[in-house]
Amino acid sequence: MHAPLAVSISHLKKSYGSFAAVQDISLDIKAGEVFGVLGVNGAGKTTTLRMLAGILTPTAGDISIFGISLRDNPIEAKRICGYIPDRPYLYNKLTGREFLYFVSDLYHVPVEMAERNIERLLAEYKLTEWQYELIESYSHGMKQRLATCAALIHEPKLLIVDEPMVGLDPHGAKFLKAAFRRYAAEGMTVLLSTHSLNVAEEVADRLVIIDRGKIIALGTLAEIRSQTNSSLDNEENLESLFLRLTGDDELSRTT
Amino acid sequence: MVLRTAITLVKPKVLSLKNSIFKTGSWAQQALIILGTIIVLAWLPSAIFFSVRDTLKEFSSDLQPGGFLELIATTFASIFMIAACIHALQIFFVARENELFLLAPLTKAAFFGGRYLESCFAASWVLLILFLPMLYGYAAHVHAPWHFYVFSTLYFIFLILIESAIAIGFVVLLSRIYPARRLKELFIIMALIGVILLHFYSKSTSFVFPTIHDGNIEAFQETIRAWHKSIAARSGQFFSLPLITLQRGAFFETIALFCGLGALWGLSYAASLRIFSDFYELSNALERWQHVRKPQQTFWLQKPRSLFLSFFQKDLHLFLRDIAQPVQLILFVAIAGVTLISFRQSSLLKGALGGDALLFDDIIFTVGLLGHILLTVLFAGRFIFPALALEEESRWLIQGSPISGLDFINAKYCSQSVLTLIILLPLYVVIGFLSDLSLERITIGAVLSTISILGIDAIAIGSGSLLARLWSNNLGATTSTLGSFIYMMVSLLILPLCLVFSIGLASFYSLLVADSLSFNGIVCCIIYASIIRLVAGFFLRRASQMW
Repeated sequence: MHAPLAVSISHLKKSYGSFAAVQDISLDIKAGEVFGVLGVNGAGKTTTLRMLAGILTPTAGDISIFGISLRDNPIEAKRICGYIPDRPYLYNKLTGREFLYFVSDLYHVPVEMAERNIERLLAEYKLTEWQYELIESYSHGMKQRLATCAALIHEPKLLIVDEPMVGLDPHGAKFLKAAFRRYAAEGMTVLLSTHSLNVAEEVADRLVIIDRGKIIALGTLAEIRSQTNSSLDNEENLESLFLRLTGDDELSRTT
Repeated sequence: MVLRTAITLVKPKVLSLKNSIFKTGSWAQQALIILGTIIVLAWLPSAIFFSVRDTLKEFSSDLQPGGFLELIATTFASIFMIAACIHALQIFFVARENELFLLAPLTKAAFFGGRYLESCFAASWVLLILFLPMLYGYAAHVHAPWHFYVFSTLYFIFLILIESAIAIGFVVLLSRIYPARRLKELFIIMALIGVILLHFYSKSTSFVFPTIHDGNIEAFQETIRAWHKSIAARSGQFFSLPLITLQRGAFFETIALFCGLGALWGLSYAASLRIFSDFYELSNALERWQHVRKPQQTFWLQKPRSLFLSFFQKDLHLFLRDIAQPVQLILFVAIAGVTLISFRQSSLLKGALGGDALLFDDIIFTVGLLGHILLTVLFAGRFIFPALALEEESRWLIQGSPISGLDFINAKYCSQSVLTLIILLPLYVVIGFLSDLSLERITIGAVLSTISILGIDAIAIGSGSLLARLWSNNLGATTSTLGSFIYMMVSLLILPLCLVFSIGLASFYSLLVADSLSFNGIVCCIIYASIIRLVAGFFLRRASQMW
């Protein structure tokens, strides 16, 4: 039996004037999987993710989230999504707890559920001790963890994460990778873009590699190997595959 | 070496400005930006020049010698001192690029020189655009010779160089005892003390409200005379004396003056450099109060829940925790209070009205209401207008959440309006009681004021959304940057609209007074409220489309 589709993207395009940031992307993401989006800087990963989160409007194409069209019914679609940007802006003069209250109101989370989730998430992300202090006194990693709590407060079915490991220490990174796997096991779909190839290799069930706004490879690591006729060996790692696909053959041979 | 460093340090700013004009948008947009800038930069000085020249013609017989020069020189010198302090703080402590510059192999003198020149330019260019045309207008009025224009400009430049050096030294020293990032608040408190002193001082000289005769010209002349007698003007002679000397055009005096100014500049620069070399520490000054763990008192209500309440609570918490904002608010209140109480205490006015208490109350009521609306405009310009621009950074959160653009704008509008009402309405009522207005007049005034606040806030939110992408969070601190200057000009567009409201208020008031609180008066209030609701609705819809 096939898992239901969490995300369906068809012929997605985004242009800024004459520059096409995303060109005709179509893909499906199954519910409960961790899906990795890879690409070099400027490939169009963040633009794609921001369109999925409803922050940017596509120039063409459609996105549906659990069968709800983001174009026709953005409010309903956003209700089941959580988004963590790479550099989240948080209100410096609010405390962590106040910020989470504010976000729970934005998502119309019932009071009891909000209280329960705030306690749980603050404890899970080790922020309980800091909850009554101003966000401006938080370190970068703590701000990133607070943004993650904010994205999870309404128990989304789809979590969109842009560069989750930026600035995290090894403990934080390990914790987050385990958390993504656990959320997926619980039925949540996690869509993450990353520069870190080992994160993608470790966490993602399936991957898409984007280059210059187009999909150049899609599938599990094994499927990508077979799609690209990897002649080196069956154990060719993601880094060398990535470098080869994104055009740096010489570098890929040295890895 | 210093000049070369200065050019290197300023280069990123110049290139950024060039790129922001020439590398964004179509050529038509670029042409529009350039044309708009030229028009603003040409129109403003020309308008000031001609209005000063033509106005002075009216007072030629009564104007005391040097009085106008004192007014210009003192005002310029005082405002520039505050601007120079704020820019010194901005350029030496807040600017992010300092970390980059301090990493570079530059001597302290070269770094100081480069930043000093930038500080001089950044703090002065807007003031020069405003004050030089005034000076030239005066010069044209007195038919001053050509060299007066050149030398008086040079004198202003020396003032800028000297005051900037003093300001940098002062700020660096101050940062040793008070965290640099909070110095802005200290400056605002100093300004507040200045206003209070001005109040006591104005009572003794009748400066704020001089004797009012039957014409405006006499009132203005009284103001000038009162100003001339004041301590501020006497100290102002210190700044204006060089200009009077220059106006006389004596050769040796001019030479001696500029030698003196040159020496003073050298001395202030050397002293400031010495202070900088000995005491400047970027990291200490900034980080001393950052990352301070301090549990906060929260008064966040969990029930009842609504989007409006949530935005209101968030904005209120942010407002109260940013100490600069309440302090600026107190400043507004102080200005309003001082003005109206001074007006009320002015026995001269009562005398001029022949003891007509009713007419006196009417004037207090009307002027109080107009003043209150102008205060609302100031408040809206400072706090409500940038509200959406400030939310721009949290766009990822707002737009990612399941609320529509209109819901967001309405919630934001309601939250800001309630905040304005909480702050400004009691102010109006208190000032009304202090001025012995009748309860009826206070009630009418409060209703009209509430309606106006709702309208003005809607306009501020709507027009602010036009500039939501122009990120600028502290208008007061960065008035000299190009973006903020344009930002400020656009906020001032709210003023004419509010004056239209004020005219509406005045005419409704006359009707209300004629029939007391009659049916006609209530109908007028309803019509007035409906018109404002329509205008507000239009602005809010536009804002939601733009967000």
